[in-house]
Amino acid sequence: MTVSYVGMRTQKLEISSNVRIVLQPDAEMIDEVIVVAYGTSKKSSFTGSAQNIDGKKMELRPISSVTKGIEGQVTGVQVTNSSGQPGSSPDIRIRGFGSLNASSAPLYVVDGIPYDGALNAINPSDIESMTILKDASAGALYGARGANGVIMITTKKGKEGKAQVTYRSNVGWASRAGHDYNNVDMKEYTQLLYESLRNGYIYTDGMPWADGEAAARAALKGRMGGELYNPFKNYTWDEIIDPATGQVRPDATPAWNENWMDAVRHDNAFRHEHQLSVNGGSDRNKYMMSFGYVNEDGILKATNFQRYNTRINLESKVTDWFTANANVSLAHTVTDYSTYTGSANSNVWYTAQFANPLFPMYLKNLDGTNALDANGNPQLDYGENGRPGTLTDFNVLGGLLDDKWSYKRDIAGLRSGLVFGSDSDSFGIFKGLKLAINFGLDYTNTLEMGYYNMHHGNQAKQGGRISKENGRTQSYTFNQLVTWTRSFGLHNFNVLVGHEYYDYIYEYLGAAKSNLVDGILELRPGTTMQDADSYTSQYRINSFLSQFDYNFDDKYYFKASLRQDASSRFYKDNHTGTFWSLGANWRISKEKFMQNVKWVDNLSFKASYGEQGNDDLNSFYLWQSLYSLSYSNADNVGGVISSLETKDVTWEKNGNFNIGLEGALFDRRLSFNVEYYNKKTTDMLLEYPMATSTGFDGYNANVGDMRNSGIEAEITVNPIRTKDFNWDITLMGSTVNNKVLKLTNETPEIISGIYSVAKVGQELNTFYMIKSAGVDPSNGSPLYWAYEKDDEGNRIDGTDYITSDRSVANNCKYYLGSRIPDLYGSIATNLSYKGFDLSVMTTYSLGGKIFDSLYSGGMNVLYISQTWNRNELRRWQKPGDITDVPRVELGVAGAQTDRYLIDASYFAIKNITFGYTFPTSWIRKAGLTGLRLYTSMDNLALFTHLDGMNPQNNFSGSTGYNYTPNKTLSVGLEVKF
Amino acid sequence: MKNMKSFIKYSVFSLVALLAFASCDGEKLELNPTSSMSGASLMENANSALVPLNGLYRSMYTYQNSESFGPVSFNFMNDAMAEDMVMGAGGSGWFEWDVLYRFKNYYTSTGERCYTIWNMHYTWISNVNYILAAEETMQGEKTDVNYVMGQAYAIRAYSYFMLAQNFARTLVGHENEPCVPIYTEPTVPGTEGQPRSTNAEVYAQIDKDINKACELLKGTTQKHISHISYAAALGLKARIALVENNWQTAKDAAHEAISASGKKILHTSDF
Repeated sequence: MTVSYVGMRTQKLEISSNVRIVLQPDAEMIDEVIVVAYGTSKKSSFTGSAQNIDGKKMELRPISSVTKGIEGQVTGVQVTNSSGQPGSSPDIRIRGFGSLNASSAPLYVVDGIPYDGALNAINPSDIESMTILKDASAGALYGARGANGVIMITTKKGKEGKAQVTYRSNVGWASRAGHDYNNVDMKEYTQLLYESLRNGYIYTDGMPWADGEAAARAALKGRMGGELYNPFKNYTWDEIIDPATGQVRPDATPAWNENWMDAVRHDNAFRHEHQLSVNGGSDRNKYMMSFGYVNEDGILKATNFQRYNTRINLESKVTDWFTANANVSLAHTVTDYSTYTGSANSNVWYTAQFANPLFPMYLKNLDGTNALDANGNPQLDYGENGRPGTLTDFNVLGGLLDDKWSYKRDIAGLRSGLVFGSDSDSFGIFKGLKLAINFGLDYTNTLEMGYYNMHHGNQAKQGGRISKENGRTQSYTFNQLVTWTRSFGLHNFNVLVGHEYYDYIYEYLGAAKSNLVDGILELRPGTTMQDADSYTSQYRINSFLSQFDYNFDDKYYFKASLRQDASSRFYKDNHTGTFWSLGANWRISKEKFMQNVKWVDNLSFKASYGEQGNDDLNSFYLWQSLYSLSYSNADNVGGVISSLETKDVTWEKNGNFNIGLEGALFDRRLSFNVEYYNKKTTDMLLEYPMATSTGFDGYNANVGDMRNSGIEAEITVNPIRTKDFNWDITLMGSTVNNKVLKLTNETPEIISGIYSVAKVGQELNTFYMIKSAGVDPSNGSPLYWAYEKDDEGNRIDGTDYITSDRSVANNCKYYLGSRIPDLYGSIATNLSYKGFDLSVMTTYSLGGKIFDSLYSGGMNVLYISQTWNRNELRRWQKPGDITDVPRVELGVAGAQTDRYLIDASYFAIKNITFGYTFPTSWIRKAGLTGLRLYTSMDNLALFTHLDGMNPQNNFSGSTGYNYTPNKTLSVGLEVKF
Repeated sequence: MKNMKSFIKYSVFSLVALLAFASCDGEKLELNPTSSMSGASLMENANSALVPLNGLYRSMYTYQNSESFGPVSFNFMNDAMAEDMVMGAGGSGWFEWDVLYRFKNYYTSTGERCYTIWNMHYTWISNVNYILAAEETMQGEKTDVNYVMGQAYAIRAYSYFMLAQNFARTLVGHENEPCVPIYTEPTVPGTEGQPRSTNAEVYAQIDKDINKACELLKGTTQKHISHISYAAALGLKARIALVENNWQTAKDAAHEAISASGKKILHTSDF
């Protein structure tokens, strides 16, 4: 008899009375189907570069935004992790940095239609799979917006069969990921402060050593605002430094030690998430419904993210030749956040993270005890009693709790389609001809509130200030696609022709008032109008697309696509762009000569080339001569010209080449995928410089070329695969080589701050800075490298010398590499034994440098309200000392040298999940079809070259005073019935 | 067969309906921002032309940084650098670098006055050139058009006057020495930077502009106190004449400015 089953090797057996039949999986038939541009494809025969992430990998992780689930899963993708604000979404770059001034962000597509909603509105549990399209053959069908890669998200659909209900619940606790910056303690701070005063008197004012020491001892009191702010109650400021040793008295005891960062941190921030989904259907109608709720507290007090979401996916086979589907999703999110960024006093990550350790959080009496209020409670210290420095009327915890910033967002999405047509023979010549009409809509409405309190701080004198802003985004895509799928013998054809129209509109309304009533967070009671504004932005694209897909005998695949987009961003004569691709795939393992090579299950070789375009040049109206209307003169409308009319501005183009080899060997025990890509961006938008006396610094022009190339490799090994025990390891590595090829003739180099942002022949954002040459042992002054220059101002090799003159060094900068790593990727492993499973995912990056300005701020303190980094303890203290840290000074801005350029290599343990799935025999009695308990630890550990530094802050290699990323430990369960 | 017939019927029907619906003409792709306006529409008539004019005046008192906030900050600097006062050392750190000639280290900084004076005045000149280019085509009452154009000429005269005084030797005795570049046409992509003209050429341009300004503004009523009125233009003319050592022109212009303003000079005893 013959026994067969889908996905299993057919077996022929002898008939006998007692037969035990065990079917083996057919390795050849398990062929992953992935969702690609405007359709699906088998992974092994896909001509483009695409990688798939199974939704299961994200279902059970305690992540609130889908992009957090991409890291480490796919080669060629770099992710930033710049904010730990709950609900924040990291930025993603696919295959290098495609542009200087245009957006390098990929396109997000949900269920076939480009997505304009917020990424944190998508419930990760609703995702069936995510496909990352990396090359032209994969992405050219998305034309305009596909140049930087496409991330396709496909949501779960209904399945035929008995209705299945799944309930998932996850609770977790979050704390800071990685280490804090190591700062000096109270006694060390006092020592450094004294030395900085001493050094000032000796080296800036020219006093002899002993006089300088005495003057510094006497100056401490004035500098620190008197004895009230002296925590060492057993010594006054005059006595705290021992004149004999020049050191802080070892037995000085602080009466308080109130770390500002600890006061604003919310340790063990709680997160809980609940999901319920129902999934079922008949052969005609299928449905999937899901409901979810997430509430995540941030590791900073008063920050939080909440999301309610629901999704309903319906698919109906109305007749044999007509199917209809509708996916509706609704989400409501509320985010409480802290609005301050950069070096603003109210930015907790700037002020509290690096606060002077001597400053107390609560008001103190002269004896060091808390100055209590009328009710006997401690009071926050707003600095009113002479706290030194510029933090007037300020308390970091008070501001965090009293100022309120939040936004509420409602997101609705619709993806609907009708398909007419059939593959049935009864249709004669119309067999395989289908017409699909799709309509997708994304609607987002955000209401944002910003409230400055009326008691302390920024707007206290104005009686508090409240602003409310409303932004409404609506975009829809409407396409009509005609496809024809037919086979003639061994020749298989699939042709697509279609039209698509995209319309985007954003409307903004905002108003603000001051002088408010305490407790009422509305504009109405405010007496003074501060601001009222509204505007609209629009953007439209009209496109025609086509694709020709042919394969012979499932062995030779060929695909060509062509798309033409007309974009409203450009002048009408230049607004059309044509994008195309050609790709081929040779399934070597299907060849006759490979049939006897049993150890090769699948081997395919593919190559593609195409041209894609980018119109996201950071403005919807780039070519127009515009007057900025925000220059009103008293009550008269006023405008000043802000851009020159440049009718010639057009698309940035991208020529994208990809070749790859993919295979599965030894009965799928070893599978690999190696690709090489080479992308050349041309017509890069740059500012073509003009003489300043013309009134403009430059005008927008498409000049400039850049190249990104690299190799991506992925290997999965499955050493153990038995009935009970399975173990596999996946290694991923990617390289990125970036080079600027051409800029304008007038500016062969663009310099900004410490970056040579672009220079012909170099990587984007190369560090261009002063090179430190150590410290002069005689006086602790910093030393720098300098060199001689030729007539064109270029460095002459071999003429480097050391100097202490900073202005000379400022004119002799060096190119010192960039953030771009040599190799980055991930190492992941999965083990399962009977019902237990363990998965570990780690990521790594080798090479690249980061300029850590938070570190340089801690080594070069400017204000009395800030503290030093522990590395400052290596400073030069007396003549004769040999060290790499110059003498300590307060308030003197030092040079930005390569002392603060840190190796960006890191290793991170991104996720460890350990779970147990109960055997079906046990739970069947309870009426359940599945029960799984698990613990999932996200962002568990980070190893970097400098404690506190976040190596994934951004792609250009700088750090910022940002909400630190967090790690979450969670437990959860999944019940199916 | 029946299935196929209905399929054809329905699909062809919807396809036609759709294509009619979805056909798009190019005009739908021509969009305009609502937070800005295009230059062409603003220069159409004298009324809308007040928008760029008011914007210019506003940019004159827009704060850039603590050392550059428009003509007032440049006047502070000029007062401190005048011949009747000598600064021997730095003060509290503000407005001292120019006086002490310590600007050499900052000549590439876009935050210091060596750049902001140049940039600000040339920005006004280029904005004014767009207004002046529409002199023939602007619609509206003659007096209204003259009101706009007169102010434009006065601003241009003032800008070149300030640039000449800050970046060149004085006119008298140095007529043929390099001064600043002159632009009288609107800037377009590809406009070349001009070489420095001589003092004589620049002051000739200034005189031409201020005389035209006075001629056009005569008889117009000032619409807002911040606008350059006929009297203000005459006062500027007097000041320019003083630098040129044209004493009689200065005296005449000053007298006419006083009478045109309708105000009188207060005697010190009346303070």
